[in-house]
Amino acid sequence: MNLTGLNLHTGWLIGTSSLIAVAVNMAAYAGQAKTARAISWLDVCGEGSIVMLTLLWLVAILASRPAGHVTHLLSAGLNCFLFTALLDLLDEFFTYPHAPWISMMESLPGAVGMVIMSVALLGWHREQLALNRQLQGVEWFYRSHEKIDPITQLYRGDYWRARVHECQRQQWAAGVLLLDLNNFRQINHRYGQAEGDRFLKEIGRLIRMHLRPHDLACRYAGDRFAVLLPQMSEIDLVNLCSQLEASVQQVAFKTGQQTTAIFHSARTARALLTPEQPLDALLCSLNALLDGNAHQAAG
Amino acid sequence: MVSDKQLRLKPLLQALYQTAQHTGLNTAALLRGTGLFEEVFSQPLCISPSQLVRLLNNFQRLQRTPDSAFLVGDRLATLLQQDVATPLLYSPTLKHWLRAAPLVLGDFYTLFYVRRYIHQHDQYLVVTSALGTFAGWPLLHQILLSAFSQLLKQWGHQRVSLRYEFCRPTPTNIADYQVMLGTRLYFARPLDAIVVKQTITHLRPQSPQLDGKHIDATMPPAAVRTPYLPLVSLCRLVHGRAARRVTLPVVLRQLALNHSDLNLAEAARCLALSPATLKRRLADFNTSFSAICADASREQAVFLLSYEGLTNEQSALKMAVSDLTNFRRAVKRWTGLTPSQLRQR
Repeated sequence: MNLTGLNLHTGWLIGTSSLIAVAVNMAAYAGQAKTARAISWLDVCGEGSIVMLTLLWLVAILASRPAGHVTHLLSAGLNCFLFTALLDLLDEFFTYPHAPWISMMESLPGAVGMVIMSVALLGWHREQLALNRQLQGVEWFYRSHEKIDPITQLYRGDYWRARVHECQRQQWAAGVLLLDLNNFRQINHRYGQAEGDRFLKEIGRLIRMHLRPHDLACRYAGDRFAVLLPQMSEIDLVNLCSQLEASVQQVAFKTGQQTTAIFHSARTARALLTPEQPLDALLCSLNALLDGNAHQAAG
Repeated sequence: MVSDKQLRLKPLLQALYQTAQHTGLNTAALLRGTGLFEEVFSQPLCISPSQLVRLLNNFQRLQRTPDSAFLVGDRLATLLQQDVATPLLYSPTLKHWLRAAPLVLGDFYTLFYVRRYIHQHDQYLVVTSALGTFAGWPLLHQILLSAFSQLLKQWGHQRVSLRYEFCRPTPTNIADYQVMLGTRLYFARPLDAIVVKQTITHLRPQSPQLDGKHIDATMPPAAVRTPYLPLVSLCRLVHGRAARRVTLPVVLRQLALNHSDLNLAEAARCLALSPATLKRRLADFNTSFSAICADASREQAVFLLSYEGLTNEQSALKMAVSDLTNFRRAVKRWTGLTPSQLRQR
């Protein structure tokens, strides 16, 4: 787990540590320690693992999410639950003959924590809908974070193929388009891999700008991008291809401190999707067209 | 023959290192257990086959993106093109290019054993590891193919239409293969091979590569006047020697292919080693004499039965196996399939 995100939440980390310290001190102050024979180690194991896992969940949430309303609610709810679980664990080691209020302290925060977490879940649901809207054009009905390309933040070719296959299976009318950058190796060669990656990222954004919300753009592989366009007529597909090629030609890319722009070009290949045509054969012919060897597809 | 710490592989090591840095790999973890230090990536140091194997195994294990091997191969092609592979640009035809590549690529080519078979109108270049058996072989194979494909593309100014066959099943990242190697890809085949149609071996590059810039960088002025150098001079020019080095598994594989009844004692005698030393040296490559013999026979049997479609009698005759019943049993042992099943593939 990458824990660098915890830097944003020092307040919550201090708060959780304080809460643990309060619970332990409270139990030690008000309670009397049990003898080793009176301790039920099975209960200690069960309740101890609940405390540890709640703590792990809290760390996972804080490490994964930026600060905000939903994160605060989730953290508050989990902290309340953690307090209850910790007191529950501690009463395996202590008895409280003179402090019956501890039992009340033990049960109440857990219930409050669950209510807060339920409100947080509602907020998380709304937040997720907003994020889904942000991901329009790059994600379709299925999330698979390990297939996201780290450079362009688009999904990779295997995700795109799976979605196209799904389209064929459902017999949806759609068009497919592949875009390949001409002589992209020259950018890597002259300006370095980092600048090449930045160029790819910008081209990914440029392609997204040309798409409708329900289209899907992916980085097919290398310097090749793939787009899936449901409900797209042949003429619209042709127009989109020429628009994309023209747009790539107009990009005045600048590297480092240089003010001189680098202009680049791209070529496209397109086809309308039919349920009966095998996807592999279709992609073979499109890729062969882009490679400039139309006869490749046959062999 | 390559013994300890004799491989000069600076371009490959640089390509591995640059790709590791670019994809966010921990370079300290990459070098762990290899006995190598970070200066191996920048200085022209020699390494041993076992150090390279450990490095490739680490890379294979740590790689974060499925296209890492292709990125290494692409980068390697650029580094080779700027250095030793420049003379390849002067090859007048694909046939010359294919003959010149092993000579020009030097120690990088030492990592592979490529055996050429000809069937009907196709030339099959069957690629196997020269470093024995190791987990990082798929990575090294992909690096070779992508570097090969890119070098060929730079020579021809467009993708040269070759067919690539792989033993492995269709990978999930087939898109990377298509973009890097072209669309003529066949998976789950009996051999790892590059297939060149005999009709395209006379293919010429689309436009001349004599732009002067490359020539001045690596070649003497006399070469400027000669578009294509004779192969031996070219090899001497690049490496200062005419012969290519080979590893122990390759020597044994060649012996096994030429002598079907070769045994360990005879092989050791041919190499002026004791059988125990031969076994120990093969153990460094994580392989054994019997495994090399079985693999060589497997390759021959698969080609004769599956590609050429010969009968058992014809195949046994070509492999110098006298006992036909024994041949059927041996094929089953080498390949896991019977001769008739192989013919149907």
